[in-house]
Amino acid sequence: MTGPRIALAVLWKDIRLDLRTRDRLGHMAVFSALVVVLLSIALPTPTAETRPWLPVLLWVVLLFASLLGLTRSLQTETEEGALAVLTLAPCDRGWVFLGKGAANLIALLGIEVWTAGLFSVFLGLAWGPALPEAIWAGLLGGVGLAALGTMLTTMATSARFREFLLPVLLFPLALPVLVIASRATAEALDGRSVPGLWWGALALYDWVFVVIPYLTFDYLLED
Amino acid sequence: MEKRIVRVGHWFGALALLGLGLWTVLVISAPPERIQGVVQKILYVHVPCVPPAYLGFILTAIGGLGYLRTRRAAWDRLALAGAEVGIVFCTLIVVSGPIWAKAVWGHWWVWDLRLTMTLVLWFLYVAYLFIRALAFGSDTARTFAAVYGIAGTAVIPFVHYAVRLAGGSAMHPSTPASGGTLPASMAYPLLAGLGTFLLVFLYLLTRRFEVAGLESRLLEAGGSSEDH
Amino acid sequence: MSAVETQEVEKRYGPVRALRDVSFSVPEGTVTLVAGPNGAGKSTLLRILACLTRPTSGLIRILGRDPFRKDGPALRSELGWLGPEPGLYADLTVEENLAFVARLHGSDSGRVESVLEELGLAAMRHRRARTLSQGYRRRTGLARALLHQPRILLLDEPWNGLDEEASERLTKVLQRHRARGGTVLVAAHAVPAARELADQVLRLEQGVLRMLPGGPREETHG
Repeated sequence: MTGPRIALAVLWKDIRLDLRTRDRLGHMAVFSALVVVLLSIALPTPTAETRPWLPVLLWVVLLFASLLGLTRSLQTETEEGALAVLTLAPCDRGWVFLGKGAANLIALLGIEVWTAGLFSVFLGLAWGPALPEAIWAGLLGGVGLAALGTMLTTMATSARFREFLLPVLLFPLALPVLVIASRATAEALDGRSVPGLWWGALALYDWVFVVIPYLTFDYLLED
Repeated sequence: MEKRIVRVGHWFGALALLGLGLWTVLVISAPPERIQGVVQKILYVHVPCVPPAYLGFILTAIGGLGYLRTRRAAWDRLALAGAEVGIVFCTLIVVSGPIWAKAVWGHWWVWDLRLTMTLVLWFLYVAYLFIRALAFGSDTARTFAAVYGIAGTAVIPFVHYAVRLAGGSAMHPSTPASGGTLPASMAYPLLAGLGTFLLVFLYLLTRRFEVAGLESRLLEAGGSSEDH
Repeated sequence: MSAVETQEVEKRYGPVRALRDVSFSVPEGTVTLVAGPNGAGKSTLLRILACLTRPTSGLIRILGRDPFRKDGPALRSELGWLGPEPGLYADLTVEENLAFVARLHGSDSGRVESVLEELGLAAMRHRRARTLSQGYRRRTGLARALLHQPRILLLDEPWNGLDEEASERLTKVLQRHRARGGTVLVAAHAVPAARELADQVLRLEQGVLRMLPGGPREETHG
């Protein structure tokens, strides 16, 4: 039971750090608030034609916000060489990935809720009846982004231009998550039911990008 | 093994040269298409680039898997060669497509399934080469690149699906590579192109593989004089 | 059985060969000084032994097993590592940092108390690592490395930044570790205490082992 214990320890440690300094969540929250306010000023009042764009904008904001959060969590790990401590954890290192990924997921879910709220206040997105499916989109999309982000931040750790490298690595891989999740959100907001195939594809994608880093984290942590 | 690959590479080169000659003659002598005119001949470049690009990226994933399993540098060199040569063909696709599209559709860029797919692939493997450049040939960069290359291949079907979902429609004419409707005068240059570009790909691949081997040997030789 | 054994270990960083053909073996219950000028490959060697870096080629045996294969996870709990950075979370307190490591390794919480005591950190336990002086950060890093009672300690310049009192504590800790049958590999520069303590010296120059174990030895304890 070493593995799950270590994953939980890593998760708990990250949650504690997030709650203590609050700068990670704070940066993400302020960033998405800024962008949403900016959008609400710059965009004309949404019409029936432009309304479907809002979910896409929402997911783009989330993508950039998650990038901020990932960069910050990378700093936490490298600032005093703490990453070596995780590398030395006496378990299959996939568990370390699961712990870190879960922590990133929780932070991301928090930001999703916050940003969705902002979109409804400033841009008039009415979540009401769409809520159950929007939650699914948020969960499945969140898992994908968090898993990809956790894997790629670890790769970027040892790089010289990590702040630059991370988006270049993340965006092409995140594209399917972004498209499927935002389309599903748009369908739900339109009062249509989301085809099961979309959920299936998104879930499969999440699965692939939890399994790949889980299996290769051993290599990613050694440098 | 590596030596044999290099030797086979020269044969690919010779065959590719012959093929290129044949292909040029066929392309020039093919009649211009009735509606599209001479622009249609871009097809003879555009379509044959597709299989090599995909093949290159698949080899990158295979090489990455092999490297992670065995830690042999040769696998890594295969992955690198696949990605670099694949990107060359991918770039050709991405560049030749819009030139044709501007003439026929009237727009450089159309939100089209295959077009977008190819562009995303291009970004993926540029990112892959960024990782390779990270830490100048270190084991770390190789390992990360291997993981990213595997992930990149895993992502291809999903990108395809996502782009279709986003409304990337079937604007793109489907490849008539299977023969079928194309008149022989147009099918022959296309088939010759497909075969030739595959040979060019194999030639470039084996040469890149060889050069990567030479590079690492050079580094080893140079390494002893500037040790840290 | 030897605690640490290497065979023809080589490590390359691109064109640079940090280690070349390094083969040695260190018996259990000894202190080994890894010496050599700057850039000789001392840190690289210790990082490899700590499983933080994979050698380009060559074999490593820790307690007779290969840490880069199936046995890795189990072996890692036998290793205590202190690198140039202390390995702490800057915004956790000293105690929380140690408690985290205790949880990773499944050590009982009493261990946190005893390492705090052992390294004179009790008064600092509620300070965040960020607010500590350099010396106390090093001490906390040492406490972290010792916490799970590893059989093998791999310390890279542990005396750096320590005051006299802390240096003596460290020396005592290492002596005690050896007396209990533990093994220490320590890289150090011009530290007399290290030289006195060492049972043998591995001297690295430009990534090559110049002298085999069994170098200058001084009896400092009975």
